[in-house]
Amino acid sequence: MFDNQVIHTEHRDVIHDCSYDYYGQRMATCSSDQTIKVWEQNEKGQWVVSSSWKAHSGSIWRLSWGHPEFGQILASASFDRTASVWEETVSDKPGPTSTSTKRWIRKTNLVDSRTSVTDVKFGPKTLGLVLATSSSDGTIRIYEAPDIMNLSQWTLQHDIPCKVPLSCISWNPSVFRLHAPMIAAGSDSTSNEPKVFIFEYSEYNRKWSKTETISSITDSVHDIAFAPNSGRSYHVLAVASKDVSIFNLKPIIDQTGCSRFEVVSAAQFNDHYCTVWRVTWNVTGTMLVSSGDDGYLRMWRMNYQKGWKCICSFKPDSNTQPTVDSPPVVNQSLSTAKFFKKGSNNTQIQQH
Amino acid sequence: MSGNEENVCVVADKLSEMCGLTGKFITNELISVHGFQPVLSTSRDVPTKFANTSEVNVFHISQAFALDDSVLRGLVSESSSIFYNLQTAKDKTSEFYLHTSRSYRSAIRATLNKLREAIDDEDSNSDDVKKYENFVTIFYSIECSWHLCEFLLIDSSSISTVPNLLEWTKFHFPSPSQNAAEMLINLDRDVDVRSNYWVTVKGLILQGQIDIARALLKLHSSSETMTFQLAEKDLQSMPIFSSHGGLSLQKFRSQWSYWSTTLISKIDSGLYSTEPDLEDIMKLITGDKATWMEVCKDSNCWYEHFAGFLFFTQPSAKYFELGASVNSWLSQWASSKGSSGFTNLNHLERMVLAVLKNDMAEFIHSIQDIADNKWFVVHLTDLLVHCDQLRMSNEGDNTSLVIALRENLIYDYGAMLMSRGSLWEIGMDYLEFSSSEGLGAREILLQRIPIKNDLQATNVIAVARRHGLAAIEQDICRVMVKRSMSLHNYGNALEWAIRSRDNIYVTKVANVFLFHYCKTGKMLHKDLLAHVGAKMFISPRLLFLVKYFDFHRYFSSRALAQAAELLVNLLDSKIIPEFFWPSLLADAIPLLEHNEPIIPSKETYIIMHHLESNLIPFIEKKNRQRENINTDHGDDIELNLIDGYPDDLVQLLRLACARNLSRAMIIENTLIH
Repeated sequence: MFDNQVIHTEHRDVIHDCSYDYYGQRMATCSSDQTIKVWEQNEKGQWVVSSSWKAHSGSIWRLSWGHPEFGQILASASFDRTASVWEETVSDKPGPTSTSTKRWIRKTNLVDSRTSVTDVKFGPKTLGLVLATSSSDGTIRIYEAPDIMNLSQWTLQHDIPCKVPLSCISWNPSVFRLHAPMIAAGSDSTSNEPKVFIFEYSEYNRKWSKTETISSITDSVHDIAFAPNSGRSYHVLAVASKDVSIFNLKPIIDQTGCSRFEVVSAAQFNDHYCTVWRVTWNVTGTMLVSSGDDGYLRMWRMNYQKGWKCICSFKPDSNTQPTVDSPPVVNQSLSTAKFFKKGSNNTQIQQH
Repeated sequence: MSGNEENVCVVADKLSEMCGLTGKFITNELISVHGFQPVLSTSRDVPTKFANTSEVNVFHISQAFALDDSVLRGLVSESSSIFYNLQTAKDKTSEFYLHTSRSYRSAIRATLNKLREAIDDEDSNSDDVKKYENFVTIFYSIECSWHLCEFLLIDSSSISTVPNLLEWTKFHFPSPSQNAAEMLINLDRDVDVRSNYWVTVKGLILQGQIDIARALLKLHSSSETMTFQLAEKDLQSMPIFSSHGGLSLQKFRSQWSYWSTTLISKIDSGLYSTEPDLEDIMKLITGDKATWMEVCKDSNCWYEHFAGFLFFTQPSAKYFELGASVNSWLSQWASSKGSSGFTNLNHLERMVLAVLKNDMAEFIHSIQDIADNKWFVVHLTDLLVHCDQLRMSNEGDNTSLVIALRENLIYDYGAMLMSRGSLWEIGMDYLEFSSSEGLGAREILLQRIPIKNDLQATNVIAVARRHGLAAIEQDICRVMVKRSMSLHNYGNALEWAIRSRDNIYVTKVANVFLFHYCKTGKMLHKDLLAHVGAKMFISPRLLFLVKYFDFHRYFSSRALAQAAELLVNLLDSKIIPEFFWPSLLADAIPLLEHNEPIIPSKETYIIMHHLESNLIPFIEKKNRQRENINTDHGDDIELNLIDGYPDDLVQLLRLACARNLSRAMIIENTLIH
């Protein structure tokens, strides 16, 4: 049984990304209509738009929220070859009657890419205020705001050429083990070469370098995601390609101190029976959702015997009556579908 | 498609139907879904073919969550404290486990009562009533099967399986006892004309309540007849098996077979034929198959008479022996019902079946399907693992499997509570006792508890400290600084910044205070600054701010000598922000120009030194910046500051210094001589 809330975004074209702030209390959507909309919940729990603005002169592909300790900040990546950082400001003079107005201000426009910026992600906050972008010219760019109190000043710290068009990047969010900053990138080129690369930052050389290439994936990669790490000794990476693959990256420290990984394929699901476009982890890294070309969204989780299973899928179907804005119902006899687990059907029990 | 068809959620959206779905987790318990058009890095940027055609919607979907209902909330918090005690208790005896189990059950029963009260209070047609009735069904089956597990698995001192089963049956099918009690209280002789008399007597026999059945039989109007007298005699002499002392099993068996053979021969010879109801009862006692099948026809569920059947046929049966008896009884019961057995069993019946067959894997699996957000499976599994009574398979050592199962369940339950509004503090306690991943998840989830105001922030910090997650405190403080700053609530920002002990954040807020002073000549939040105390040493900028505030206090209370001394100390302190030089030196003018000279010559030299080596370069720099304003994006606030001072600040200062120096020298030299 599901509780279902519909938000009419009034975007004029398909939404490419829908991003949530650290607490899941605010939502930002971006679309081919070149606008970004920021949403929050009112007292009744309904999502209402709080800001909407034309942000780029091309489709906006991706959004990323920064950690709230840097303020209310958003990064956007667009076809117009730029990535922007936005900050919300609250007007200084709230009149006695009017409520203070919020406005998103472009703090910087990162124009180094000569082609479409395909992905943008804020780095883990332990690294400070850093941002990575990938572009179809095959370059990962790492930007940093050296003064975290000044969002207008960003410097291009690193420029990592990958030679193949990049479609996606992911920071390793792990903060539980001491390891070098790490980024994974995926390419959707059609050549028959490996498509997933792992880069690590060496404090010694002050340089990012490629430490691993996952050779088993040679099909186009459309999305990639490191799992949040809540105490594992290895890293987990999900890849959206012709199917969903999950890799465990176990660090091997050799004598020279260089880190290498033992890359173990942990799971591979072809339930979509077609190309997989997106993969995303939950907050604790125990569940994964994948969207496939079959139009379905599937949810996966690892059970206690360490096996991955599809526990639920979401299917678009406009012929079924929508359960729009229905209040939370917990009557499993009405249930048509169950989330995670099916509810009991023991409504026949005799009462004594 | 791998048998997951039933776990499909339909998203009613026209656009998604045309272009496909994508989505992501918002929290662990909430997922966001929207229509999605795949793009490649080489895609050209054109409006999609869906542009301006249909509504673009985002869906937020979550599993129905029951435990935050006002009635169930009590159960959640009570069970969490029982859970916590179970994990932390030092002396874990079997009595302790039994006590724990009973505590859980009494919590469930209290909840059931509250639910029934809630149903009575509501308008009978409201949705809430349906919801609560549904909860009653759920928690009744939970209590029922927990009770069963309690005496079969948890209570290790219990060796008498069948009497316990009878007790359990009596509890869940109380109508024979209730009817009998009513009849016995009224003691009316014409009890047998009541329509439910024989039903009640038979019901009592079927639950092994022989003595009460005898008492009822004595109330019958023909109780003085031969047949009734005979029945009384037979029932009185019936051997009862007791595991505690008395007869040995072998002796009991021979006694029983002698007694029942005699009874059968009496039945066969027609001694009971005048009273068919009595005859039925005697046949039931002797285990006559046909009669039992007849009884089963009217039964509510398969296990209603199972315990009674065991009582008369296998009174010494042990738990581990029940499997075969259950199977044969069930097929007998099913054939009497005319059904094919297992298929028509409801969920509770299947759960009871799994327990009685000691098929714990099946049982655990089936209780996960209850719509109680896994409350039952988590607490029961945990308890069974604690008292080492959970066997998931009969082969080999399954300890690690069982431990993994328990950890996994507790992890999920804790993580779920942490992602569900106000129950997060309870969730913390569960994660503490799950796996090492649980400890990590606790940290991740705690950081993401939404904070709406200072009070909530303080609460999260307190919980973080209690669980030894002090690093979270600093993160939250920084977030609160940023939030207060954006709302222009600088007093709050300063308090949180000081709490964060992060120099960068403290400096940022202190600067705002100093900028404000430069611009307006007014100090913000004076009472706050007066009480910073030793914490001012967190950041040089804060130290300067507080010391400068002290200077102001001296000055305004006319303690000019102290004010002057402090000012000179500050000038020499090397912690002055550059933009503050004009303001600080301007403050020296009234002291230098005071009627009575306050600043001695040596200190005057210091002021003059800083005037020339700090203020002048600063003013020159600002002038340069102003000229290059179009090319250089300097800090706007700093640029504005200099405008607040008359151009002749430097001249005034020089003049004041010179005048004061002359006065001071005259006085100082006079004193020397």
